[in-house]
Amino acid sequence: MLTNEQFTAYAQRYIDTVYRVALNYLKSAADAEDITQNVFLKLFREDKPFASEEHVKRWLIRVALNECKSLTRARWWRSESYEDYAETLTFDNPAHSDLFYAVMALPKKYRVPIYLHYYEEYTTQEIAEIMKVPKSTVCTHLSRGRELLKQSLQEVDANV
Amino acid sequence: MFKDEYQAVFSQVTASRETHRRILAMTRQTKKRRSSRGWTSKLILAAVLVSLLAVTAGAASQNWFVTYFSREGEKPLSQDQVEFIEENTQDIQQSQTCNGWTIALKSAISDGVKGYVQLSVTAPADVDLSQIPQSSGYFGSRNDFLPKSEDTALTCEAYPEAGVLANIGSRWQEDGDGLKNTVNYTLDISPDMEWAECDPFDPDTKWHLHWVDFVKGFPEQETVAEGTWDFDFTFRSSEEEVSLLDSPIQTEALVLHGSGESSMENVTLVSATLRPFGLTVYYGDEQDTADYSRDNVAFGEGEDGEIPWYAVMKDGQKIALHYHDGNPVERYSYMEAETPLVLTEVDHILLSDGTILSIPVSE
Repeated sequence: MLTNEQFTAYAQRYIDTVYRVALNYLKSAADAEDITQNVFLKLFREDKPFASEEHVKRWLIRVALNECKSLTRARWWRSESYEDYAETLTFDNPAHSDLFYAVMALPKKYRVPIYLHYYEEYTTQEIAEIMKVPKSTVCTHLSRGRELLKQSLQEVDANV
Repeated sequence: MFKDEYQAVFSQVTASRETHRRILAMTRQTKKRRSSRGWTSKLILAAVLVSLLAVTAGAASQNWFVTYFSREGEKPLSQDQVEFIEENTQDIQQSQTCNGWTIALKSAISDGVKGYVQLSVTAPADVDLSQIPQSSGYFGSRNDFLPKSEDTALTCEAYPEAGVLANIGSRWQEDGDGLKNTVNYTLDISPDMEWAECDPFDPDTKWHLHWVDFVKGFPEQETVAEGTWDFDFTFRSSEEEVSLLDSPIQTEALVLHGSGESSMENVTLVSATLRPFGLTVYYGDEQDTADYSRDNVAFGEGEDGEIPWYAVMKDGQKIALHYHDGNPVERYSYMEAETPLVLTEVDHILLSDGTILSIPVSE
């Protein structure tokens, strides 16, 4: 079981990580906030030891993905628009805004591995372990996701 | 180059200050923390406030469960399912009024493992609840109309230390009754852990709902109405259940190891009990506990995504059973039925690997 000090330290380090995973999965800022709180509630109540900080981080991401999956299966869940949330973000340049919208427009199966690879810098093997999918699937999703992003951003440029 | 741009974009994406505050405040809630020993304190009553439903004047209360389970008609129920819900809906009909706001605890339904409670809220006549922003969710941080999450609690007397409804949410739906000051809630109660060692839905087990205030807005909450509403109630569960195994069988399942790795492995099913809202499966033996330590055996999940189990009905209809939760210490998994199961109409259970669990012929 984590001490309060350990819990606080991990929370400060990984709240935003969990939030970004959930946002990428659900495309809903409000649901991502809820998932984040629930994931850390589970961490708080977890009474088994963790082998390392990386173990904690992967546990958090995995629990977040499971929570997202459970949420989307719930009888009452409906996806929400993320556009209102996107408008609250302040990007340095229009290209970054375009990239955000292009990423969020990708199918779900591409968004999460892209986040884990390009932001958290996990390898395809590590992503496969975290997401419990074959490494080949991760490679395909990363490749296809990037291809779709490239096409989408080229279309944005062409329309400017 | 792409990585730098991607990181620049998503570094802007952060959880709200309110979420940070709530999570960091968890360390002060030590009384809610699970003990490493003592099963009574291990139960987490994950109760989920869902479904902000319209109230139709004069509508029978059980119709709301039919509406709820059919996802507002998206998944139409069979006549048998409707009859099951109507026969097993338990009228409670308690109401309290505080500062002009009335909460009525109207009805409940349970199969002994899961429970649902239906409430209605009536605001003063000049309050227009239809103006509340629509949203979906299941915890307590919505830009929505909710009880105050930090103080509202749903407790079960069997688990006084743990039965706290810390996170509440709801989903807004159209109100078709023409009354703008009335809404319904359905409360979805899933005791997450160790329910096998207890009986929270036993008729002798008392539940208490302590509802504090109504708030809206996120992350800054605005109080819509102040007050407290308290209800004591018990469930009267359907006692319908079918045991599907006479002896252990092997099936393939996704084993989630504590190391973070997962793999499809042969797992021994020791028992499988089907109830109207889902299937409880026990697996393995004492020897397996070490192998299955820490994480779960996720039946109905494959390495490349979900491969649900199905309840195959006598008329050929298939109702999916989705992996919901599990406990590796107790070695069980729970699979929730997509819509309620009328057990007498179930022909067999089809597992992911093609194994069929037949329904025993009743004598």
